Amino acid sequence: MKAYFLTILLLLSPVAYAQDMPWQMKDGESSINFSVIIEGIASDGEFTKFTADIIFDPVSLDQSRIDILIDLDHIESFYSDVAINLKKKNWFDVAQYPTARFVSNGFKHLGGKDYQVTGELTLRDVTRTETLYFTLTQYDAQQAEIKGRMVLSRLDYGVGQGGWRDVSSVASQVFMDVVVRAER
Amino acid sequence: MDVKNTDNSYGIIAKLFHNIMFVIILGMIFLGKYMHGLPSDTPEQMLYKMSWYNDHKSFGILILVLVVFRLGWRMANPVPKAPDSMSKIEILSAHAMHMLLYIIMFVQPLFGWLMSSYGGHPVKFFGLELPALADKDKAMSEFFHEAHEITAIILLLAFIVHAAAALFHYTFRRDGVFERMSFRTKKPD
Repeated sequence: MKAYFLTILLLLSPVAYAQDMPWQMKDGESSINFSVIIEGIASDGEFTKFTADIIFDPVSLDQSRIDILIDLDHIESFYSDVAINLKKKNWFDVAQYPTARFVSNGFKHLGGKDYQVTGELTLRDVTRTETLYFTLTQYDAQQAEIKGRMVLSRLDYGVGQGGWRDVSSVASQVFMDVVVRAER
Repeated sequence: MDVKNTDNSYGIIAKLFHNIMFVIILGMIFLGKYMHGLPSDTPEQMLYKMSWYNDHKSFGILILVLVVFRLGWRMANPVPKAPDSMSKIEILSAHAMHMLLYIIMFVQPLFGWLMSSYGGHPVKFFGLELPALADKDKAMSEFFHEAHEITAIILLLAFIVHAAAALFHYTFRRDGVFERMSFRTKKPD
């Protein structure tokens, strides 16, 4: 019933709502976690400081945009060595490249509550196209939440140099689990 | 020397439990400190570090098994009586210290196991993978990491007091309390 009401309301108002109303990310309820296999064991951590500029409306996906900026100096991990190592020259080289950035260039509805967004991910000095698959777990006039996952290969970005290129030690595939909760 | 405890002395089994666990536990405290500070700047360093963690986990489980059997053995045996020269307060504090040592010997490896399980890391007993005690939970893992370190410090302090008391009995009291847990005989007066 609510969906019908919203649809009618949107049909009646041809104004592009999406452009007018940017979402404000809620820091405490948003998170970016990563998981990677180290010596055969899933090891994970979290990027604790990031911002997201979001313009999103499921009925005008072509107007929707997201720009996520991660401060790579703020990483936490179960094994403190992971967080310490990631900042070093062989990994993210935070002194040289302090941030990672994802800028969307297209959303796509996959059916139901499932969507994908492709965009340009920049890590170190490499920029590549990656896809974040997400579920729109909540969406109403004031509140929205997405839960998504991106799978990428660290070696594509030169993350893990020298002996760390060895994928039998640290797998190349990295799972990024993203939760963004926003209000407007 | 008796296998079982008597009213005057601990038996061979109790002494073996005591001395073997003393060596393992003291080694484990220093290994824990050492391995925690090891670098892992290269895959080789990381593997080396992880191998010590695996050894630490194996011996931790061994301690957990030993302390259960040791407590069982203690309950199935008489505990040697304290000499009449000891005051009530002294006997009470000795018992309290022994109880504390048993509690820590049990919870110390258990906290380590919980810390690993909550962190999603397997615990192997010399290669044999043991079940996880809990589902992954970062906050709980951090809690038990802290607890594991704090109990290690308490254990080390308790051990120092315990050993100092034993040496006090050996050198000053000369009441045979030290020799009850020793493979030596009491020094003649």
